[in-house]
Amino acid sequence: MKTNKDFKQLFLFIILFWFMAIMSIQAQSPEALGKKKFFNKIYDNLFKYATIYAAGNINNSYEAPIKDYFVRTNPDGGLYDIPVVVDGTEKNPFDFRYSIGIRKLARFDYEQKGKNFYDGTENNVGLSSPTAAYKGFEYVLNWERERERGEIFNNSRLFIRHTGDYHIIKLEQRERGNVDFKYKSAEARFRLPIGKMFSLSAGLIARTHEKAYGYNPVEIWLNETQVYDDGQGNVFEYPLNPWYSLGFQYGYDDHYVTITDQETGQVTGDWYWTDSEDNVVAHTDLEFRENVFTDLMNRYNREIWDTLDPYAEIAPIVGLDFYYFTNKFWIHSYASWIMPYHKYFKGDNDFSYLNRNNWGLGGLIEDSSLEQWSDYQAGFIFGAVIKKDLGVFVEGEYTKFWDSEIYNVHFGVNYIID
Amino acid sequence: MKLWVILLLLSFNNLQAQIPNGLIIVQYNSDWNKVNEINFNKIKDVDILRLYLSEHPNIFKKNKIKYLPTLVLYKNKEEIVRIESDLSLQLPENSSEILYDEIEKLIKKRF
Repeated sequence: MKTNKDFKQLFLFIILFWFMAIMSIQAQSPEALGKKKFFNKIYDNLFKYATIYAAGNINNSYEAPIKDYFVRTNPDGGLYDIPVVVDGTEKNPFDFRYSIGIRKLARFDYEQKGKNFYDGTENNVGLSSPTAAYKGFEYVLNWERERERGEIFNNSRLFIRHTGDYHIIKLEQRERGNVDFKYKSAEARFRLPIGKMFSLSAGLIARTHEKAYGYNPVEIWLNETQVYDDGQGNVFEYPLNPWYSLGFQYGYDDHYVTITDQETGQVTGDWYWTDSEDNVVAHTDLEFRENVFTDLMNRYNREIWDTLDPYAEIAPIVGLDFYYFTNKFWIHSYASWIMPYHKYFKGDNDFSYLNRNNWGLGGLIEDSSLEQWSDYQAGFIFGAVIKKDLGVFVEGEYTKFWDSEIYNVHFGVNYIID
Repeated sequence: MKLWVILLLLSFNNLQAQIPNGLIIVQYNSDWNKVNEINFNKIKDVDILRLYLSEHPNIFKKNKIKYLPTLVLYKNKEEIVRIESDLSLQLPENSSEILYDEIEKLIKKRF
């Protein structure tokens, strides 16, 4: 059951949480420290500077700026009587979000708290950069539930990191219900500081992904072909699954009709489509393909993806950080490169990202070689107070994991008028 | 040489592992009064710098050091707290505690 699985994962996370806290008291046994000091040390490592929070917000849901109207046949009349105009604008109940959590995550000097209280929506640089702003044990454990446009989702972010003089250990689990995103990672790196501004790191990262990135089931299905030999030296290759046959799979049916132009006598024909309850859904093949078929393709893909187990892979990772801060000038740049030596240890290898370009006519190309790839995450933060009343800033982050690319850049100038 | 040039050079040449937090304790003193220096072994993750009048008179002048020894805690080049010795050329007994409390406050602010 899904709930049991979630509880197991949570239990595992709590165990790891304690394990890392205890491990962070390096080489100091209870006897050496004294029991009281030992437990005080665990408490300090775990909870000192931590914030427990419970927060929520309520706001009105999205409403279309222009109202949608449709007409209904007047119940007291016929089709050509004055119809009833109905407001069909979609209205959703109010949006909400509530969260509980505990966090102990240091901000870099250039990061402002921005508000008086934590509410679980914070996204600190320390969650992405290899090196932390604080040596020791850090974590963010956040669970939230939200309603957006009438739909309810569960989100969570569980992040644990221990940064030492020469190591970084990080565990992360993220779930965003509204975009069906689930991600887990665990990494261990050796860290080499070069001075106090620069550090290099290298190690291994294990990651999971739920979606079979690079695998497009409907495209493969449409590309399947069959060869027919008529015995007279003619070989024909034709699609095994004509596009319209997907409609039949989902209970749609097509019916051939002819229309005769009463003036010219010209006869034209096409197929109209009905659903499983005999409702007409399209009047021509083209209309069916442009409207209904698109949804069927996505539905087919979702159904096939759902049958695949989640994937897990391990790869080497290297990273660097450069950090320089003064009150008037600061630069922080960081990058992690997940190197092209990925090894899947969970999930069906045929549909893994290593085979993303190995699908062709007829399915998986025989004897095709697996194709490795690189993933990256990099960020750059720069700020300068040029004069008392003039400042500039540039902040950006780029992430490329498998098929997905996320980037954002903010830049600007501030001038304060006396 | 300016104090901050020394610190910058130190940061480039020092291979000791550190997480940057901008905290530095500078102990200003003179060669002949080393006996009254404070040992900061208990304070972690803070850079400790000892400067002697005979070697860096300009820094002492620029930072208006009037008493020896003097302890100054800096955070990103900004002076946070200054502890000065008395006529006995000794720092107050609770100097370490004062600094420790200030460092605690500064670290807490980052969370």
